[in-house]
Order: sequence, then structure tokens, then C-alpha cells
Amino acid sequence: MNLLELRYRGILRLLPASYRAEREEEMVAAYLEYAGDVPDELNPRPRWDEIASVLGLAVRVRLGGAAGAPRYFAWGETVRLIAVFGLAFQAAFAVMAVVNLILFRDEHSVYGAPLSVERLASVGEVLATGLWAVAFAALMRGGRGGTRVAKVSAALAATFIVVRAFVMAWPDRPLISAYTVLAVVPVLALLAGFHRDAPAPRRPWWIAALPPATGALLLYGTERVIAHYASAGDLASFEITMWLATWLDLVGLASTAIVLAGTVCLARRAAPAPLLALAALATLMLLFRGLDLLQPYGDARATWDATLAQSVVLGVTAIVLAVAGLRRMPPLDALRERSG
Amino acid sequence: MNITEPMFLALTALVDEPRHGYGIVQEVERLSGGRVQLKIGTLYGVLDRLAAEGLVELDREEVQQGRLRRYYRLTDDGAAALLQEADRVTTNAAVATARLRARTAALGGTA
Repeated sequence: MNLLELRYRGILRLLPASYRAEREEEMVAAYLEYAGDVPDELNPRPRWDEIASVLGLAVRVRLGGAAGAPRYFAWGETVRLIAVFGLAFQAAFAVMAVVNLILFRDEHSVYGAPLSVERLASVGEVLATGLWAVAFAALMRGGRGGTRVAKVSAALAATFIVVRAFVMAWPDRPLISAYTVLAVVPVLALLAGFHRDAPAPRRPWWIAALPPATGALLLYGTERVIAHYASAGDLASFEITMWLATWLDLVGLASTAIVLAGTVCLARRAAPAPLLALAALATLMLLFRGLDLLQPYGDARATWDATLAQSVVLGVTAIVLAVAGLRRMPPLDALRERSG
Repeated sequence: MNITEPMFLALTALVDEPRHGYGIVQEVERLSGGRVQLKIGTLYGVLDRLAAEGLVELDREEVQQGRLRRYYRLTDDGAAALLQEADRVTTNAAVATARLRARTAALGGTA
């Protein structure tokens, strides 16, 4: 075995073992025929574009489309659902931000003097939230074009968030905040999961509008409830307000939705993909709330209690759903027989 | 089913005879005048997809100089799908060409 072959086999390890069992010898033979006989003294390496093509194949196999092995299809559906739910979350937040912007234009719209960095960041934030809504709508609309628009919009929005987090923390080392993670993870899932072999069904427009609109409406309603209790003035109302604020903000509502959806999926013996996707999202929400717990709360005992309660609920949900989902994963049999 | 250009060319490469992996890469490069150079990873992704849709199937296996060669052939479904896609592309191209000619004529350009 010469050096080039050794190195190419190393790269093929990106592919799952079951796929390699069927394809490795054939791929190595084809590659060596293509590359020709290169002596070891020249220190040959596979070219970067060949490595990239194997990496792309590995992603498409491991996160399979409908034509792939059932287990890989299940993982592919899991990652695709994480992208969908994550974008829905960001889109709901975006719609709420735009509604706030319209209702409270003078107070909250843009910060900072014209042409200042603050103004730029503030305007960028508005644009970024718009991009999330565009990304989710395009993804739900589906088809090849919709998926492409979704990837570009979501990637731009996430890049803005990452760059801004970095710039704002400069010159200290930027913390990886839960906010950044909640933005980046769904986008990575989108880019990896919605590859060319993945199903991309077209859906009607109203499905695209439903989650952000519902989320925004719910948020508006809960803000009114919280405002009512906050204005009451007595201690009992204050404590209730703190509990409500934790459970009725966007993360709280999303957490409740995750727990409810997870319960329904478990009861209805759903496929593994929704269970694992919900477990992943519960973990993301837990990260968000869990990092909150590390902040100093001072006397705001009620808020800390509410945050702790929510974190515990999310943790238990994540574990239960993950275990159930993994148990329901289809076994990895030998790859389906190819003819001949 | 969405047939991409690499898939189209791979199917075309198999019309006249069954070929093995690198044989398909060479034929695709020849058919496209050197424009499309399939990487091995891309090729096997294409073959997986075509096989899953029943458009190609395994013809035979050979061992040459200690290396495994699998030959693939076009199925009847594959030939039909390729013909359908070729018709579609040809129709679109004919419409575009006709309109461009009309445009050139209207602008008083060269015949």
C-alpha cells in the first residue's frame, strides 16, 4: 500500500463504517486510477477538492435523505427538525421585535447617534431579525429555491450575531453566550441537514406564517399579563410577576411548547426524529436558562426559583426524550441490497 | 426527481456500455469537453442516488491487479428518465434560441 492510498483511506474514514464496508475498495480503486502512480518520495496527498467531495458525501450519507438507510434518514430528519424548530424560534423572536419596533418606535427603535457604532449595531440587529423571518418562511415554503434562500438568510443573520458578540467583547475573550449558541446551532443544522439528497417538499405560505405569528401573538398576550401583575404593587403580585416572567417570555414559552410537544410525541409513539430534535432544543433552552442561574440574583429569590424550576424541567425533558428517541432509532442492518 | 448535471452526464455515460467508477469519470469529462470533472466522492454520491431511484444497477464485479472494479449499467427506467430529461432540456433550449433569434432580428442584427 503506497502513501497516497494510505492517506486516501484515512480520508474515507469520514464515511460511516457500514458505508465503507460496501464502498471503500471500489472508491480507493477508482481514486488511484484517477490519481495515477505517485511515488512516496514526492509526499503525495489527496487534493483538497477530493477531500471536500468525500466530506460532502459523508454528510449526505450520515444525515440521509429518504433513499438512505433508515437509521441515517432518522438522524437526517432529526437534524432537519432542529433546523426548523430553531429557525421558528428565531423567527418568532424576530416578528416580536418588529412589532415592538412599530409600537414603540421612538423609545426603542435605534440607539446611538447617527453614524455611530451603536447605531450601526442597532440597525444591523433589525436587519438580522428580518433575515430570520425570511429564512424560516423560505424553509417552510420549501423546494430547492426556498431552501437556498433559507440557508443564505440564516447564515447572514447568524454571522451578524457572532461578529457582534465578538466585537462587543473586544478586547476581552468573548464568552460563548447562550444567545449566540441558539443562533448558530440551528443554522449549522440547516446547512448540514438540507443537502441535495434531502427531501425538500413545498408547503403553502400560511404554514410559514403560522409559528412566528403564533409566537408573536402569545408573547404580546403574556406581556400584557405580566404588566398587569407588575403594576399591582403588592409583594404577592411581585412574586407572581417574577414567576410569570420566567415562564412566559420567549424562552419560557418555547420550553413549555417543547415539554408539551415531547409529551404528545411520547404518548403517540412518534418516530425518533422529533423526540431527539426536541431533546436537542430542550438542551439549548437549558443552556440559556442554566447560564442565567450563574448570574447574581441578589434579593430576586422568586426569579431564581422560577429559573431553577424551569432548568430542572428542561433537563428532565431532555434526558427522557433523548433516551426514548435513541431507543427508537432503527437498527443499522447491512445496507439495503443494491441490485446484483 | 431533480436530475442534476452530474447525474445527467453519468446516465449519458452509461448509455452505450456498462462502465466502472473511474470509467464514468473519464466519459463524463469527455462528454462535457473537459468542463465537468467529477471527484470520486461526488461520483459515488451520484451513483448512490441513481441506484436508489432504480436508474442504474450493478452489472458485474471484476478484480484487476488486486483492485475491485464494479461496473454499472443503465436500467430501462434510467434510459426513460434520461430521455425525458433530455427532451425537457431540448425544448427549453429551443424556446430560448427561437426568442433570441427573434430579438436579434428585431434589433436589425446579423442574420
